[in-house]
Amino acid sequence: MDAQLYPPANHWVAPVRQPHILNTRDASIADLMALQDVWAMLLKEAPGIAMMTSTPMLKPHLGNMSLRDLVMFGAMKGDALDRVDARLRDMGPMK
Amino acid sequence: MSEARDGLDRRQAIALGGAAVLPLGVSIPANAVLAMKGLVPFGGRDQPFDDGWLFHRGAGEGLEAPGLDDSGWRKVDLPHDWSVEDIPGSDPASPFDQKAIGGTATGYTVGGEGWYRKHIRWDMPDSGPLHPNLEVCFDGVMVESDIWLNGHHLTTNLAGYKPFTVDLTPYFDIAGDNVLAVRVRNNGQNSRWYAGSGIYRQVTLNQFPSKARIAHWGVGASTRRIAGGAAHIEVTTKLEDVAPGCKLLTSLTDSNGLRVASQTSPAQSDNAQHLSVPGAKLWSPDHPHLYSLETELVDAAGKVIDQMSQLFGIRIVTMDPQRGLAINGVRTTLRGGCIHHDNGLLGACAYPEADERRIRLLKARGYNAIRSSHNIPSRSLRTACDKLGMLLIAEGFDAWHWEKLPQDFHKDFGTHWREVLDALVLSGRNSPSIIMWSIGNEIPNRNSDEGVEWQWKLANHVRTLDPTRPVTEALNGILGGPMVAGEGTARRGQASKVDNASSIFLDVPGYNYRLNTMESEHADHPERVVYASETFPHDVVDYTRLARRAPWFLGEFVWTSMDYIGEAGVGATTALKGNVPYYITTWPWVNAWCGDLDLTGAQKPPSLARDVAWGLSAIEVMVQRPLADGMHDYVAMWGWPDEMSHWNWEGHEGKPMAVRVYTSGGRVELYLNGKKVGEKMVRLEDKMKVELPVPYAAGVLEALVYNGGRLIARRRLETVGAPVALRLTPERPHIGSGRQSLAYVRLDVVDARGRRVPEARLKVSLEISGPAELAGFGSADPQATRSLQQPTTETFRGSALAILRAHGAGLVHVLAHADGMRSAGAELQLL
Repeated sequence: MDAQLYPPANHWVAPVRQPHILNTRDASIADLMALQDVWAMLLKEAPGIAMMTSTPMLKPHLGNMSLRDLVMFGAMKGDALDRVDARLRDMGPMK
Repeated sequence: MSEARDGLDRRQAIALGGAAVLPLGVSIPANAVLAMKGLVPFGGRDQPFDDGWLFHRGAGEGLEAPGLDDSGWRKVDLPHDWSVEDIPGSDPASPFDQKAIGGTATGYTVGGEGWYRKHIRWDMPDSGPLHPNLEVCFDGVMVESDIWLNGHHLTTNLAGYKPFTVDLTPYFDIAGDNVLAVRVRNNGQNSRWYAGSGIYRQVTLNQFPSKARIAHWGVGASTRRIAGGAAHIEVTTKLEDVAPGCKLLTSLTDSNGLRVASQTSPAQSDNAQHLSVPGAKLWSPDHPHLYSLETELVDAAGKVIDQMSQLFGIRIVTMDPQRGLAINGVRTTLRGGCIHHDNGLLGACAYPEADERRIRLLKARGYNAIRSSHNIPSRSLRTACDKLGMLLIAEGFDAWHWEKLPQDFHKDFGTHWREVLDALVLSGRNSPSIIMWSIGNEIPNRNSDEGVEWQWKLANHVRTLDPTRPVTEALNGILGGPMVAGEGTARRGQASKVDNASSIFLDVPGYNYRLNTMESEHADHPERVVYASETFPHDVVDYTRLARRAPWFLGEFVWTSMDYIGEAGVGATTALKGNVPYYITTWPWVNAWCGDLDLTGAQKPPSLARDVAWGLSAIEVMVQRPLADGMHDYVAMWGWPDEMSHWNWEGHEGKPMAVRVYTSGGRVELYLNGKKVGEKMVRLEDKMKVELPVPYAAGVLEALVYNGGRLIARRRLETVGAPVALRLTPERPHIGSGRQSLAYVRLDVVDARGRRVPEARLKVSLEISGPAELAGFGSADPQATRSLQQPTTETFRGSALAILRAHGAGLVHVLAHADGMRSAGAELQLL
């Protein structure tokens, strides 16, 4: 039996982002907020988001959590996010 | 060297120093200890340096001055944490302040500034150098510290969990009084949990006869192959100021003191050696067999000029998606718990015995792994894991470049991340218990371009330091879109493969609270090996089942395995009125209340349920505390329903009680006072729990559980009588007499038949006589804001815990009193 090894890499080259369809599970809240069109659509589908994301408790975690996480904590409704995901799919892939 | 005030002389220090190195983990016979000491012609390494410090709580300028009159300072022996002490002037005495800047995060404890001083005088040795080389090793000082010797500033340390050393040699006066001064600051909002304040971990002294030495954390050993009963171990050793003609002797000694492998090489700055151990005894959680790894630097004349001993365990840990995690080829599911670093009523003080007790308690509950969330574990905790067979995920950071709190480590991360990782990895790399290095927890903006680059930098630095363990990170979501890294940057074998931004450079992603998405994510990434780095306590059955059916899932780490101070009420349970949906915990909640074990180490209901899920128990019975009309039970995500394993519900006679039976069986029968009152099948979807209503009547409630018609287990709950007496139960009849020795004494309120009264709340007081003092006294009550160090407290759920600290040998008498109760006494022998 041999030990597994995890050798270091040689040098840093930034990985290349691949086009993908945004969704409320993989994108951080901060990422969604940074996209003007997406954020406007979100505010329309779930108006409560504006207040929620401005609370001191959540603010530090906007880059750390997805909107789906908020469903787990009871702070978002899953069906609203399903509608958001459908709209995001319609927007097509982005980097 | 002696301590000028009242300390050890050099010979005692040497004797203790030798003892301190070895018994940490290996049962090496006394003759072997003596033999090893004989090899060291000088004071040597790892001498205890914890006793005889002076402490001043408060800010000040110039308190490092050698001539300062410190006669009014308080004497303390380390470890020491002033945040768990009563706030000066508080009335009633308490360490908690409703206005504390940390709020619920630090459990309303306060920080501030504190100063330590230690007077040191050199005893001219009979032999040895006239000009000693001295360094002091701090295993951790919370939070920011500055250190001076004789008024000369030696270093600033900004990372409270990072072990570090200071070299005293340049300013040490061998003819006079030396003053080592340490200023510690714990200011602002800098921690999301209770961190403590002060020199809260052990301090040791290294003495070297010359500058030639084994570099600090300079020895790294790893098992590379086990075949035919033999183990092949690679050892690298860094040496400093090594002269021509010196030799490096590396050996492995077994628990009988026998040398089982050795290699001698000409000494260079960087050395690589190989040890082959025939008939190797392997380390595993079930059999934590340890060796002592000995390193000796020998000069050209054959004289040993530096020597060190470390624990070492021979084991190979493998992880892959087809076979899961295996230790020495044996598949092992992680039954893990996250822990913070505090030791409950002792605050952050890392007494070795307290750290070891935590690990022992968790081991007894079936845990085989812990995650030192979210920081470098103490040396003593790591050692306890090595000794007792507890796997350990050692973590580096809770924040990188982006803040979670305004004054947290993010402000120093950019300039000090490397030294934290160096300390994490180099100090722990020889511990067999450590299976992964975690570079962070729930890192904000980790999927941004900057975050991804930090992920690479940190992971790659860890691999540079230790390529034998995988790098992990606890992720609350595999955030970020797909990415592809090229050859030369990617992990081995992952070039040009699509991964997610937040996991692309991790060998083993840790998933926080992703039970519902883990399997779908695996479908997208079947190459991943993952584990649940944080879980909710109520999901234990789901995770246990997932681990059985999915080899790519290594197991879970519940948040948390033990209660801790701070993050107050994260596991709160309370009764709420009508349609009030939420409960925001605030003062007087001071502890998290999400642990399987409470602050005193006793089992809470989630621990009993876990006993069933993990097969330690076939049946446990709990009863929901009745709610007043119009109220509903609020249970936080990390909490547990307010159920108790007792049958004392006076005032609810005739009312239906929700009785929950946790069981591995297939059918449950309930009997109240001999009469059958319910029966239920346990279906797969019941997740090992059924609930039956039982009208309350005092007496005996008994649950029987069957599998295929065969009775497999039974559990009785019986109504106990009124409280009439106290009972004291020491966990051990005798302890050591040194200042690091602790005695844990449980106090119970009992009825006339000696049964603990489960809801008793009584004010109790202690009297202690003999060579011990009270180090902590309190209960598990998450809303108790009273002192943790005064000889009076209040019981919670019928119990309290006293922790005594030795200050000499002899017999200690403990007496406990409460109004209207028969007093209790206990004796402890301090050897």
